[in-house]
Amino acid sequence: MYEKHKMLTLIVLLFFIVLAVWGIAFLFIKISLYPRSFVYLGVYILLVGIVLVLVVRGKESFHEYGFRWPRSLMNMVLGAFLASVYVIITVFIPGSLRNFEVLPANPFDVYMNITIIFVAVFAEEIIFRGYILRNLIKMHGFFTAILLSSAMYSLTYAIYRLPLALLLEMQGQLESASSFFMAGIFLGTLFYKTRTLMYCIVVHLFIRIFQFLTPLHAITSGYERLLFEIIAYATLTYLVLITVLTRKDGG
Amino acid sequence: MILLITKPLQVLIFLSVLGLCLGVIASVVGESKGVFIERIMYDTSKLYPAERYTWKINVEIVVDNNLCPNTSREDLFFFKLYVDDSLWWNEYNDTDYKFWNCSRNSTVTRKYIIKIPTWLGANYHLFRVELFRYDNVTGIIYFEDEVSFMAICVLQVNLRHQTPLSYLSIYAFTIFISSVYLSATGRIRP
Repeated sequence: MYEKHKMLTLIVLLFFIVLAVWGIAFLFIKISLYPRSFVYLGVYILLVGIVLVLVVRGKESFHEYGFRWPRSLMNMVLGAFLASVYVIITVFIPGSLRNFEVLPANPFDVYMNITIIFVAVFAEEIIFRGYILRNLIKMHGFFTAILLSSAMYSLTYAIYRLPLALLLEMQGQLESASSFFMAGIFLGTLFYKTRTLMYCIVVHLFIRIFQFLTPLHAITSGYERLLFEIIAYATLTYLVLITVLTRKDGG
Repeated sequence: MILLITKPLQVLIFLSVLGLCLGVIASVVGESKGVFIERIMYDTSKLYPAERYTWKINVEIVVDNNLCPNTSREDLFFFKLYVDDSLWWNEYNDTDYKFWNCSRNSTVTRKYIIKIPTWLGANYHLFRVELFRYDNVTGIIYFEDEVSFMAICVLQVNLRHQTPLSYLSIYAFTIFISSVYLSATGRIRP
């Protein structure tokens, strides 16, 4: 019982640390582009470091936290499949109903953006799926755990995007943050079935890179975009349930 | 650093509280200057190709003259506007837009329509606004402030346009190839 409370305290503490570190990072985020990129990278690396310290102090093996290889790397094709389905549902279906906006090629350093995407995806999966979801499943079972971890994931993004929405007047930032709840449910289901972070990382990476490399944007309202995001993540969750067998060997 | 090793939990709690406090403090705005560009508002330029031949970006610039009101005279100002590091507009030489007044302890809002040829396609454009003060007694020009911003020119197209069609075909092909592989292997054993 004591161990259970200690673990729950650590999870809540980690969650507040994530929020607090982002709070500190916002002090530097308005400086200019390149320092901001380095702040992003620094924050993510710091957060992963905190999780690793917590795992080492808990005297548990990384294997249990999903740090293990899948049986076949060829199965990573699933990532390209799911990410393509996601892009078609969120961009092409609403775009064909209305119209598209062709956005300019990103003027910022492509390598820096790709690096941030890689580091961010690794950090998010290690924190929210590897540490928080895995421990919550052990304590409260799958359904409570996935709801709690997804709520934490979306709340982090809401707070992370709030200054952007206010300072840069970027509409839709907060609506898109709420779609992270569905993203948390989808990625959590994938982690629960595969028991390895590798699938979550690869699928998440494919989605973010496909989004980044597609200079198209469907002309929709924030709520329509949110609706299509929810439909997309629900479809991906369903596809995971029917295409992936549950891994039984511990973890 | 030593504390982080010996008492990590205490340090982490301290960082959490500090971060939440700093997050609140961060919203406080900084210093005031003499004459400065208070804010610039601009829109994202959107158009259908073949409808028009220029992007039009509406820019609204608010200047705050915060100098001490020690004289009754009005200050004269002008802007230089640069688009992608090329001088696009110089009110000092221009025949349509001339110097303009801004009384001390007051603000002035100036509106401009910046036109860019469409052949450049959807793009980001870097704008720079330089504010100068002209002393009409001595004839000396003073540089007062400079603000840069990046405006986006986007194209609005339908599904039959080549850009969405080409991306759609790539994703459809990816789904086809990967679903053939996945159906050949059966359900994935992770």
